[in-house]
Amino acid sequence: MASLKEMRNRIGSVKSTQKITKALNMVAAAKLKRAQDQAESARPYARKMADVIANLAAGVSGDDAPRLLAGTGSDQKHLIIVATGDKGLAGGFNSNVIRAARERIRSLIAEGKDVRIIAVGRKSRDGLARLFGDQLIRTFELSEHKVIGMNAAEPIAALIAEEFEAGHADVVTLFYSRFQSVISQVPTPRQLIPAVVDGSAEPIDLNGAVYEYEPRKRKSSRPCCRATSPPRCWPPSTRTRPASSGPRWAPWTTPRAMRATSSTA
Amino acid sequence: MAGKLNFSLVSPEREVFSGQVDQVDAPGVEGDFGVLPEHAPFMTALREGPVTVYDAKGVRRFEVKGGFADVNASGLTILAEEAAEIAAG
Repeated sequence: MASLKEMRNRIGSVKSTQKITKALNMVAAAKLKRAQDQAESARPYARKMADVIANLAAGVSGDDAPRLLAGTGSDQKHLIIVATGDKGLAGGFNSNVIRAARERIRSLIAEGKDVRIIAVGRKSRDGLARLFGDQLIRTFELSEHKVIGMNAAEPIAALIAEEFEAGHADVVTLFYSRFQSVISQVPTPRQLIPAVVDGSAEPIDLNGAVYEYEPRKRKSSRPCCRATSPPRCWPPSTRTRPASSGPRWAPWTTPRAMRATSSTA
Repeated sequence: MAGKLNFSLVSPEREVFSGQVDQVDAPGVEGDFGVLPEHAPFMTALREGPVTVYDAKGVRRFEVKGGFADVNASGLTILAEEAAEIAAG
């Protein structure tokens, strides 16, 4: 049986732990809220982009189709982009994405495909470098950007385009955590090249009219598609950071310290 | 005169403008162009420059950088990498 003094000490200690966890909770909640708002405001752009790509894909076909949209027709060379956060202590947030990517990479290699990997976020580099060091061609760290925006996605998109144009990639797939809710992020593979038309995005019926492209078709596809690729990388990469605050925040919502107090008291 | 043009200007951060307008002038890579209601389908990449919107209430000016414009039966959509309104002066 604990003495009265020991009990009092224990109550004091639990109370101060409670204060600390509460502070952590509030910091994470604020961060998450801000990041979530940012991700949400990007949605109109992502939706319009999906529509435009659907239109573009419906309007071009055959030999005229830009290769960034339609692919090279082969699926021998795969470029895998894995987007995680830079920091850990985020539950399964990083490891789930890495695991999904690792499985895909393994099966691709087993099928005899060529695989190259771009790691976005320090965690994905750490998680992949040991197993696939030879395939890893570049790592991008996010911590150098205070706010993740287009400027963070730009160099990644440029590298993807460069790889594609150099003939190092036939299929480009991005692995990222899709933000579903604060406590649930789903590791999701998304194929960027050849473009997969979003099921919800409907090409608009042109009543037989034909799209005019500027600059002219063959040339045009490049700037247009080039322009489309950074934004398409962008929404996931912005979501990566907010989402990683999620798991960090969630455990604190049921403060263990609180329960400890009540059971002690 | 035909109806109004459905115009939206979207940047990755937010929807900068959305509404019914009479005319939009924008900077295409191969030259500036204007879009009136019922324009033929048209798609172009954009360079850096001003986008001018004419509607019943007057003229609004925006500055865009990069991105592209898509004109189709549902209207004009400009997806700009950066976009901001220039304060009316």
